[in-house]
Amino acid sequence: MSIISVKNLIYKYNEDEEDEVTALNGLSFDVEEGEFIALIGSNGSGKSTLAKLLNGLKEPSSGTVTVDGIDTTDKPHIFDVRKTVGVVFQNPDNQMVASIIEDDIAFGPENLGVPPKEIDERVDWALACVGMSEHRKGTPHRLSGGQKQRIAIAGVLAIKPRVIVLDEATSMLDPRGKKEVMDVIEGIRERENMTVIMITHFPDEAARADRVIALDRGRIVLDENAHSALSDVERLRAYGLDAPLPARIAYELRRRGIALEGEIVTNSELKEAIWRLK
Amino acid sequence: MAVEIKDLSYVYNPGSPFETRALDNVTLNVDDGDFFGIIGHTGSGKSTLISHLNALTRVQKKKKLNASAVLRVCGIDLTAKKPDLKSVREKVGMVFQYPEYQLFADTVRQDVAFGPKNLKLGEEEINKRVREALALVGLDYAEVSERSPFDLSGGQKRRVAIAGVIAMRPELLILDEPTAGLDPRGKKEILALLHSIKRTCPTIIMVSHNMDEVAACCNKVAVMSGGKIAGVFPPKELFARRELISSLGLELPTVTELAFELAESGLDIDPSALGEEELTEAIAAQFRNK
Amino acid sequence: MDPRAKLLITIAYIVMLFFVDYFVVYAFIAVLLLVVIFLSKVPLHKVLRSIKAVLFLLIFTFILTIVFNQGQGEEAEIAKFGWYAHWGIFTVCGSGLLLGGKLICRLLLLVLGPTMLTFTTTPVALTDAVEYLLTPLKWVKVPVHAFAMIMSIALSLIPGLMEETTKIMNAQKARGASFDHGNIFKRAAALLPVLIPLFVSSFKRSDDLADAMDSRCYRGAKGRTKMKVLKFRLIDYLAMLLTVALFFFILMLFYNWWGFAWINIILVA
Repeated sequence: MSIISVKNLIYKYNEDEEDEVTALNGLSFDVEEGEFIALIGSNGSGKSTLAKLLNGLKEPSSGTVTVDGIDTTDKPHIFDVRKTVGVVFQNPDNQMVASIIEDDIAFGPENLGVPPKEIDERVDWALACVGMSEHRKGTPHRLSGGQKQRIAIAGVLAIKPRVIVLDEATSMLDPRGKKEVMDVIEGIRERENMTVIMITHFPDEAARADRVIALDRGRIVLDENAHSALSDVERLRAYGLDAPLPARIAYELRRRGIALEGEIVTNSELKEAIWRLK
Repeated sequence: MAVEIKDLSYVYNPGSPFETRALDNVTLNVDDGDFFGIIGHTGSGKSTLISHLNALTRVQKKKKLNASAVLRVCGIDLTAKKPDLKSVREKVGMVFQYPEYQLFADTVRQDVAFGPKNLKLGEEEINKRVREALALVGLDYAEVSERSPFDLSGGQKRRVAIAGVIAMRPELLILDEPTAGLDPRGKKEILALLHSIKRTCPTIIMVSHNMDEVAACCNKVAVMSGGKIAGVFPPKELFARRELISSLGLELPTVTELAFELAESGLDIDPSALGEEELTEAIAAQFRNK
Repeated sequence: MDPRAKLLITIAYIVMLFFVDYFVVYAFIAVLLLVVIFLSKVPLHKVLRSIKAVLFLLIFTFILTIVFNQGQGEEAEIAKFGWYAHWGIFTVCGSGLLLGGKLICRLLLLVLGPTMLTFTTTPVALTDAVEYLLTPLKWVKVPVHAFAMIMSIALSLIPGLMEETTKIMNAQKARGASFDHGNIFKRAAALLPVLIPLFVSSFKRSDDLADAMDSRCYRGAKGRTKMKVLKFRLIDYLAMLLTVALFFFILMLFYNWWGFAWINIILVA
């Protein structure tokens, strides 16, 4: 069984009112356990709305979202949904509930009624996962953006979710912070085999995923292997999306009649393709 | 000269255990007509430096600190005890990070007019400037002027906020991370905008941690690290110094990084001097020569 | 120590101070406080810095008390202290000085005690303690847990809000706004460009926070556990016992129970 299953999902803002807006228009896709998915799309494509539908913060106007077999509109079981799918949001400053880091991370397991001793262990583990153990007793507001976002990730990890959704979690960070967060995500994937859904508008971040789902004006326009999706410059452009730089250069070179072989997404792939021709 | 800085220092929380030197004997000149970039990561002193330029942060004078400091912006001496704040704020426009958070008025027109109104301009002049500023940021006056700024999209809000600053017709425009948080398309739009703003606002300083943007816009780049200026270079010269950049924990523009990797593999190209199109052209030329 | 014990002791301490009327007792309490500061390992200068904030208030009340207190009238004062001075409505006399001195002692101790509480207790521990101590109110359907949660969140949001305010004020200043000119109405109007963006961003913040809390399975007090379980230890009982004893002693002095006048005599001497 898929860990998340989305069927014919439609979501409308201000439903049945004059200013009704259809944000998501008939999405269907499944997420298997252990997958690393990048969800891309320009601003206004409905990406962030989708994130909130995946753990029942919003309810579909029609269609269904099923998490581990539970419908997200199933009120009595909503906490089983949220226990399974954890979401990290965009703004690192707006996710802290407590003024001491360990108290903030303990918030999730406390809500779930985990015994005190186990909460303590989870806090230790979550902080170690994001490499912030030495800050346990500190306060978040003196930290850098990247560090704050790592604390937010730890707060979600402490719930021990099986899927972690990152809703543009790096978009407000500087390059160093972005790198910190991306490294943490890859570390978690390797060690904990967690399913990751990363919402982003940076093509080079998407290149780290296994599978890319692209949204354009509320519809899925691409859903395939990340590598082949990101190497297809023309198709991405048609949906207002950018390809990674090496893919763009390869595209231009091919237009000039230089027949580079294969799908090109990374620097080294471009390098190899050029030297194979020379 | 638009900005003249000599031996400027600034200390946060002096005398306490949290004492940090945000600026350490900074010396820097920005010429009239420069599109000047300042890069460095969070905590390198960039923000403290630019907030000195329109006197939001005053030159610290304590004991020996800043005894011989010079800070002259658009001809105004900001080390003076009581500098002319009004004309500083008139001549120096400052666009902060996420400027859309400063929007407050009922309509876009009123919001953009806030700055000019504070300059005590006549109504006609204010209207003229609002139209001009909105046109410069690529917004249609007829379409947006009477709308609430809070109903606009994220990218549009940011443009309104920028218009609010350029409506004051500053001699020097300072932008702090003008593209932060936008998607790639939004980033491109804002950068294109800056080029057209440059025509009316002769000197621009842009603070950024994104090397690609600095490479695309600036004619000079100051690199900051630990409150010091590590050097001022034309972008191409800076990007040739790969070691300096990585030693400061910064990243090369993605194009330059790729070009370096290609050059290292034996391709005959000069990595520091290339933009995306030039790089494509240079690689293509390698094949034609064969 | 348990935050509940600390909170209770602090409350007792504050009430107690209003019953103290002798310098010797103030000194005794001050010594006790010093012992507490020493034991807590909080650097003394940090504690003393908290006085700086109220220093002006202290001096102001001191002066007011001295110059407006007319004691027991000129003759009685001279009889008691041997001097009396007055200029117009201002009077300086022995009783006034004594009263002012006592007031200063009381205010100083009043500030320092709770300061120690905040230095040694995290906000979360404090709100936990408040929540626990207010538990009886739950029986009359007061949402105690919600109050404690609100308090905890408010405390964690304050630094961010202060930062936000400075940022917005700077942005508007850069657009030529000034916040320190004109009469009170003009100034209030000048604050609108700060308050509106602040409200907008606060609403956004609270929306975001609500989503983040929901995502982390928040559902009120129902089924909730705590990482840090509150537990009274021997030291808590001892400290509370000591406080009760001290309180009793001070009340005894104040109301002169069981004719313990002889203690008064010793203390005054």
